[in-house]
Amino acid sequence: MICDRFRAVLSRYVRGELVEPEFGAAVEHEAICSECREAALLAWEAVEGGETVATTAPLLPLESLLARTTGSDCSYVELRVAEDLDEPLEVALRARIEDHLGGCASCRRMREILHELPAFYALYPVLKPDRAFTREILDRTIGPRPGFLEIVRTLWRRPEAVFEAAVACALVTVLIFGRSQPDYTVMADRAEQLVSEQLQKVVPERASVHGVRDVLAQTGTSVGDFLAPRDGHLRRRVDGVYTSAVKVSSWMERAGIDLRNGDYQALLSDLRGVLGPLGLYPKPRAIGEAPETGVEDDTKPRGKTDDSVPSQDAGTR
Amino acid sequence: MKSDEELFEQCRLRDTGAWETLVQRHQVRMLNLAYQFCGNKEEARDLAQDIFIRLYHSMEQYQPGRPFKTWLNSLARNLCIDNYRKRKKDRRLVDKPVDEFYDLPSAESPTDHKLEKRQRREILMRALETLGPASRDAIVMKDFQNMSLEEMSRLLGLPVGTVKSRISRARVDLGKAILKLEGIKSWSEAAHDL
Repeated sequence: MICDRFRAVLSRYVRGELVEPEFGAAVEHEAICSECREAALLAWEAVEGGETVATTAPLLPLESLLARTTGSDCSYVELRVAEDLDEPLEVALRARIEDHLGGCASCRRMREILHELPAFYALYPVLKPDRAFTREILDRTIGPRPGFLEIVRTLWRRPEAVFEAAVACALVTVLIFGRSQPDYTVMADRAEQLVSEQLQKVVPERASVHGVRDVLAQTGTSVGDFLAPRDGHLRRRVDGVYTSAVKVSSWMERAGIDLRNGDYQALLSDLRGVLGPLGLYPKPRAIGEAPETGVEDDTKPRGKTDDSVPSQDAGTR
Repeated sequence: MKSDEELFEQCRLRDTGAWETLVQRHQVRMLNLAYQFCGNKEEARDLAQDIFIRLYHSMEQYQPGRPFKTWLNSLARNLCIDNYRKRKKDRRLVDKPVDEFYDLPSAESPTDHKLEKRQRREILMRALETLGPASRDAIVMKDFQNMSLEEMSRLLGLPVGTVKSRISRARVDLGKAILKLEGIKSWSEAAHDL
């Protein structure tokens, strides 16, 4: 349907007198043509108000026209007063309107009520959507969220999704737990345990100074390999182990202590003093008690010499 | 924060997250727009949902580069007017105001003041109900939604002057309806006093 045809049938259309297929064509045209839609709105409103649908501009009587131009017509004044709410009228027009208002009580009352409109609007309730409102929209557009059984069914129909889900879970797990603090603590504890075990092997067997020193160095190396430190926290813990090893061996050299000379108790006491604060000293054991594992023999070939004591830098591998 | 246009582009690629964000961003305005048109909470809820459903199903008609808000307003307005016309035929009553939606100071204002507010609110809702679709549309867009004349002009496809006179006429119609209802109210109060 074209606009001209729509306007021709407009009067019957808004009265509900049109029949198919013309009615369908009119509805379709109204939906796509904004001008005709506005015309239909006004026509519909006119019909509601009991007026006839005007297809042309009405011819006003001369008196009405004069009344409008002189500002003495009530309906004209009302419209101008309503306009005045948004932007002030021109001075001359305002003067004419004020003249009219001075002698017309109904227009004055209309002006009052027009000025009260914002206060009326403020009383209009404001609605807030709840969650169910949003959920319903989403359900009716993108569909409801799948339930547990539906997920299982989908996986059953598409087994490769299980693999994808497993990979996704693994990735998430690594991201969340891969570098967490508790894991580092466990590793550091394990490092301390290694140190303790090595010391326990050596000290009760009255190893030589060099033996203790070598074992500490080897322990440090193995601890470093074990931890492969990647951040500051672990690095500090491992550095502590190396430092303690260096301190112990230096102290033993300075003191001239030889375990074969029988100064075993003094060594234990001093070791406790150096390693205790670091939390690296093994639990006390009775003298002469058999070690739990194999005996360290300083006659065996050693992996490292005195020169091979790892430095602090080496510990940061 | 992404613009409406960016989000809507993602929605067109069936990005459900973007759609959810867009709904959440505009639902308050759409719900209240619908309520301002129909004056009934339940109906407003259905109508606002229909707006979003229509929006979702007409995504392909959106022309990229066009302001999304204008497009949404146009779509919402058309639906609201259609609904309003149907309603007017049904002649259903405006729903009665419910206290839970109103922000009425309880401790400071006397009961008479509350009552007066309630009465004025009822008068407003009934007066709005007497307006024709074009007048109600003008009032809702300009006075409730605070749209500018230029925005309305673009939305309606009419010159600014025409929009302006339509608004003035709608306000006068509303003012007359309020005066009439206030007259009925004072008459009934006077009759009650007798």
